[in-house]
Amino acid sequence: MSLWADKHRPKDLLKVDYHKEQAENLKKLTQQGDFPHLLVYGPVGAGKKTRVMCLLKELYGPGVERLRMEQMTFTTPSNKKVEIMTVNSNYHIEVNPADVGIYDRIVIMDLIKTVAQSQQLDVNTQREFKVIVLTDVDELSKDAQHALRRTMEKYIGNCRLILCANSTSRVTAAIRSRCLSIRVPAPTNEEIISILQSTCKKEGLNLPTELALKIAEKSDRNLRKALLICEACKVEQYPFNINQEIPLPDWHVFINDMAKEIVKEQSIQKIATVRTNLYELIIHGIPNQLIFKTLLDELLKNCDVELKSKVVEHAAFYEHRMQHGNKHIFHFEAFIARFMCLYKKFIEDVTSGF
Amino acid sequence: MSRNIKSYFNVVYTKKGDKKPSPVKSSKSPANKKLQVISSDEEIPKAQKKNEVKIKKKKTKVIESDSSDEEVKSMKKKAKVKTEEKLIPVNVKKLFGGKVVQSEVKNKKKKQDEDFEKTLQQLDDDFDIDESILDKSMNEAMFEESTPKKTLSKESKLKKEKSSKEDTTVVEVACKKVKHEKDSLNKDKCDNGESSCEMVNTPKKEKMKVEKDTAKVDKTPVSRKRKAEEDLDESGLDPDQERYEKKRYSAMLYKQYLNRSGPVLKGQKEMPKGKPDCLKNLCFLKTGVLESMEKDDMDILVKEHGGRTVSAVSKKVNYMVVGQDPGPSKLEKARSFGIKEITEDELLDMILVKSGMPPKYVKHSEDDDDIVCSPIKESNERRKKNLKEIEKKIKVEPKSPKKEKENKQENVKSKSPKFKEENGKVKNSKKETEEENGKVKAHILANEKTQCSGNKVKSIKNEKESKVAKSVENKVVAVKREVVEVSDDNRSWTEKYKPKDIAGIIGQQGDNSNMKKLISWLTNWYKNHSGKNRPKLVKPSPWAKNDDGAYFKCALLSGSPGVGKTTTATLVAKELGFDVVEFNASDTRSKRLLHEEVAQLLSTKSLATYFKDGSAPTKKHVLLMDEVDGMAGNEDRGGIQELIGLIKNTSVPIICMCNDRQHPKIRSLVNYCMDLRFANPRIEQIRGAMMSICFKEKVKISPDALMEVIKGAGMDIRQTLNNLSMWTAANKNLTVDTAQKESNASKKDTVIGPWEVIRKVFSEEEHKKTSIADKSKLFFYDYSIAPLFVQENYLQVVPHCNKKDLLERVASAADAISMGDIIDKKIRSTNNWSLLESQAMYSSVLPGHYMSGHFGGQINFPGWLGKNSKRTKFQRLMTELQVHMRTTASASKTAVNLDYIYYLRDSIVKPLQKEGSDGVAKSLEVMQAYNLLREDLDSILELSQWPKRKDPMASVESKVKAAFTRAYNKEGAMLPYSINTGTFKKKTSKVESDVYGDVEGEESDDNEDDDDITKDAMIKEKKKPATKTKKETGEGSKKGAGTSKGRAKKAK
Repeated sequence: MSLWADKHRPKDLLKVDYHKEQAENLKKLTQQGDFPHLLVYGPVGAGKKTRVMCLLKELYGPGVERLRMEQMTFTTPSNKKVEIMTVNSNYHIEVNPADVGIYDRIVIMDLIKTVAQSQQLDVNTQREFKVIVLTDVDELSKDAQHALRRTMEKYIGNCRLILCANSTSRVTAAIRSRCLSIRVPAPTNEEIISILQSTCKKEGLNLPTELALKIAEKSDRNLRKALLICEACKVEQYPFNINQEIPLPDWHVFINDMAKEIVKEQSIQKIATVRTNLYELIIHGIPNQLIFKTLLDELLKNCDVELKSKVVEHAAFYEHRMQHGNKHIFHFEAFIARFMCLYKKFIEDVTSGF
Repeated sequence: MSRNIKSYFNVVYTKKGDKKPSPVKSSKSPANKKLQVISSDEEIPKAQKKNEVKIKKKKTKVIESDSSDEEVKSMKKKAKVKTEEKLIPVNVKKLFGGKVVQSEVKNKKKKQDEDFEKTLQQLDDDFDIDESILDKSMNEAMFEESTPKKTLSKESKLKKEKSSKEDTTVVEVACKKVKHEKDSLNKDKCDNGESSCEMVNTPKKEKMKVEKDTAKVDKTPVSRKRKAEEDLDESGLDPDQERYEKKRYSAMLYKQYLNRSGPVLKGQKEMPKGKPDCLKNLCFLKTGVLESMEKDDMDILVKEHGGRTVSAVSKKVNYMVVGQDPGPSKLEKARSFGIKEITEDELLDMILVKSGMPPKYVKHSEDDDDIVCSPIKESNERRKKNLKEIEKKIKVEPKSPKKEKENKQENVKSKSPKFKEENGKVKNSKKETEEENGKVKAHILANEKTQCSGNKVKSIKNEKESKVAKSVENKVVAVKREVVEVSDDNRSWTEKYKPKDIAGIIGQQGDNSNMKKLISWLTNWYKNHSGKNRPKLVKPSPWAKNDDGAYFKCALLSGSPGVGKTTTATLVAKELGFDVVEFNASDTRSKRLLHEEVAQLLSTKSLATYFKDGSAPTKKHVLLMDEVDGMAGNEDRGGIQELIGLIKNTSVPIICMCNDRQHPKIRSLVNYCMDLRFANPRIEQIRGAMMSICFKEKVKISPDALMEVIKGAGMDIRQTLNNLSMWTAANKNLTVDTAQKESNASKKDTVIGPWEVIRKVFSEEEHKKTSIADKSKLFFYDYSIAPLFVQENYLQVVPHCNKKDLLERVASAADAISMGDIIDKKIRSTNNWSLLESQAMYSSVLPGHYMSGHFGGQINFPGWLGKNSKRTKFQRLMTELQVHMRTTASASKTAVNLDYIYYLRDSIVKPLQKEGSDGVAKSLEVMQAYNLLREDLDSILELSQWPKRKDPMASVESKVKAAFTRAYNKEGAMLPYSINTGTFKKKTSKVESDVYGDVEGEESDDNEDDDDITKDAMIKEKKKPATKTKKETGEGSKKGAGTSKGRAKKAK
């Protein structure tokens, strides 16, 4: 029994709950027979992959849902063996090249070439092209993106690419211009509420609108998250209570605790303890920007307007440095030290004023 | 009788040198006195010899002049009175009138020397000369040895005119007699009684004088052990302290004893072959280090000639052979017994004389002087020309009686040949001396007393010399410098002064020294390791002390460069007559070479000696593997292993050498080797040898400057020599200042670990001393780890600043560190290594500057490394998890991590928590829906675990857990992906295969934790079956897909 988020996933372009106009457009696109490269982008939990799968089903029929996994092995020029897991159907192959880190270029070159160089056997029953779905394209290295650029044009006869990304900002312009960009915006709160309620109905439950709104707000317009929270709430307590506590994910709680500690005491020792907490967050693979943002949000709750601007300025400064640096903890720490410095001064000024 | 003799001497002094004895004590300038008092035993012998010669010279003159006892007696009365009267005035003069003397030295010395000699002669002849004039002239003559006093020279000129050729020859004789006298002394054994009496007296006298001196010296600031001791003796301080001082003193002496060097000229003197019983009934005792013989050598020599040697002082001992560094207690005891003290040369001559051959050893040294005389002349001429130089020299060499004596001695030595040549009277000095020898001998034989006096003089000298300061040696060096021939040898000093035999190795002369161990090991090697009746040897424990290494077939000499490992090994091999086969880092020492060539080389015989002197070809080989830690790279691959193999089966001794014994490559070798670690010799040990080299090279260097040079080189003898030769190439005068500067500049770069570096980076005290360049240098000790260390530890520092600024400083430091990280990224991503300097600034210097203070806690190893590897591990787990879930969940890795994982965990664990065994089915259902493996659950738990949070699995009963695992294994979910174990798919039962698969997967998981390489290796292994079973996988997955499809339908 899978979670609601997966259980109630729409399987058909016509059955999606929101962005229906876009869905129709996509359906028309497939019906033309030819099909450009696509770049599907949008925030997490907006339904990108759901739409891609629906699209593929539209193209090839239910056969694409017969997924299997394959381990592929590539050899780098330095003779290092790189292996990557792919999700295949008979018609498409899905891969996340960013999994292999700096070797993503080899994966892209080898994989696309092998797939694209072979023609489909039975052209009559099938499309004359295969589809390669690349996920997390915005995490590809520059080299990999450049490698992609040429192969996209060269093998367009045999394969189409569907690229998934959270944001196009890190996808090179060359790739963007070669693709039809499809933006999948996050659902609005209202949409989320209606989806939550319809899902609960399917499960035979009754979800009060107030709680649904609460959940939607907590979920940052992330539908998957909203469904997961909703299910968690159901497990926690059913029938639903409007004032029900909505649990935050542990990492969020952890960051909040850390922020509280920083505000509570400013000293060298505190910086040292905060460092261990930061290490914990980094180890757990929480994206650095997310840590920065969540932490800043929490810290700003304790600042007045003047201080806020200063803190935000420094946060932006160190976040920028972090993007350019290697070891993120250094920049986190620098920001926290700077914040403590500012905050202590601020507190001292306030108290001395009286 | 003894009194007579004493007085007789006094007379002699008054007549000839007027204040001969008095200068000894009185003329010492304060500084010299100090030095004398301080003087260690080491330097005594040199001075001794000189003094001996000097005094003997005086004596001979006396002998010539006073042939009758009567005269002597009459003289002695006068002399006594005089000396006693004059003691004080002379002192005063000496102490305060130094300047006069100095200025006079400038005058021509040669002439003065002549004059002086002549006056002496005349004085001997004409006794009636006005005493007052005599006194004056003698006085001056004695003190300034060769200073031309006008009064004196006038007188002497007058007399010179009178004096015939004979006179001059007599003067020469006087010089040379000295040595022959000794011989004659040795002959006359019957005078022992007399001489002993004398000896008893003289030391006392000397002591008294010395004590007076020390009393004066006390006023001077410098005080050292010995002085202190004497002070104690004098002042009679409380006995405890005295005892303590004594103890300390004897401990010091013992130390010196342990470290004293071997014979200087070992094996360089031809041993006399006298009649086998010429030393019959004579008993000898050795003290100190002889010039050319070890104790054993002397024993053999004496025994060969019928004598016997003992090792402790007793009344039965007839002669005590005194060498360098004599044991003070032995000397004292010997003196109290009245044992005659002779030098090594005297002993050798004694043998010759007693067996009816002309003595040659004592004279030997004089011949040397003859040979050397031309340079002396040159130098003297130079001296004349360059008055300034002389002046300087005089300043450098403070006027002390000893110095004067030495100068005198030098002059006496050098004068005689000079005389001859200048006067043109004597052309062949050797002939002359021979003739004179005869005369002198006769003379001496006639007069028995001379012997006594000789002994006496000698003992006086010894006594005096025991107080000679180290500086005296330097002065001697200064004086001698002119005498030494300038060698035009262009070899580097390290080559030129390489030890010629094992006795010359610095710091390896002790009984427990590595060299001795090596010698004994090498000598016994064939006994221990070849032949039928070789002993069965057990491997000694590595902690066993004083192991002779008999078990080992190889010796490993380790130590820092320049301590003499190679020298020791080669010289020891040479000494023991081994044929050396050497391989060093310049030879390829690969497995093949060692295997083929070395084996071949070692099975051959050396004809070298056969061609040299016709002796039989040697079969004794020793394999010298120098610089074994340099076995590196492709060339020498497998060298160490082969070497070990070679050692195991060797038929010859092997000596290996390396610098770093702790090197990982060497460590395996150590197990097969006798471990000889060469410690750096102490400064004192090096200094002596360096001094003598400086002297030979005519380099003027003060001991302090030399100390600096040695320290600067880090006790590296080779380095010291090279530095010395470089720094003195332009200027032969090396002052303490320049030496210090140069040696500081040349100080070896010592490698310091990151911990020490970090301490220095943040230490305020260090900051005061170091420049910015030095601070940034700290970063470069290890620029890859330094930034991490700084980041890890800068919060541990307690900065010395206002408390208010504390956080500001921390923030600045953190800011600099973050900037340093950006530069680091830039360097590594663009290979722009020129930015390293900037990184040093930001990552090390600036944080150090902001946080300058002291460490409040322990310096930690950077945690970043561990955290980072843990992060990568988590990333891998996440990827795995996401891939396994992919068919069901569409979420990306991050999404899985941020959102899914907690809810997934809850949906799996909660049923187990709440319902126990009943929840197992529910949990399994979720697991299967997401195609999770059992270990995926573990990674989910690990990934979702935060500190201070309860482990949800902990609250699940272990019974339930076991039931869950069992159920999971039984279920044998069909997975859409192949687990790494494709091979098992061949098995008929699919369920089984998956079970095995799990186990296997788990194992590989563990292995793969941190190591990509092992991961790869495993892939390689299983690659083939994986591709083979592709089809099967396809089928399997189809089935899997089918089920999932079915499920999907259900869901709909």
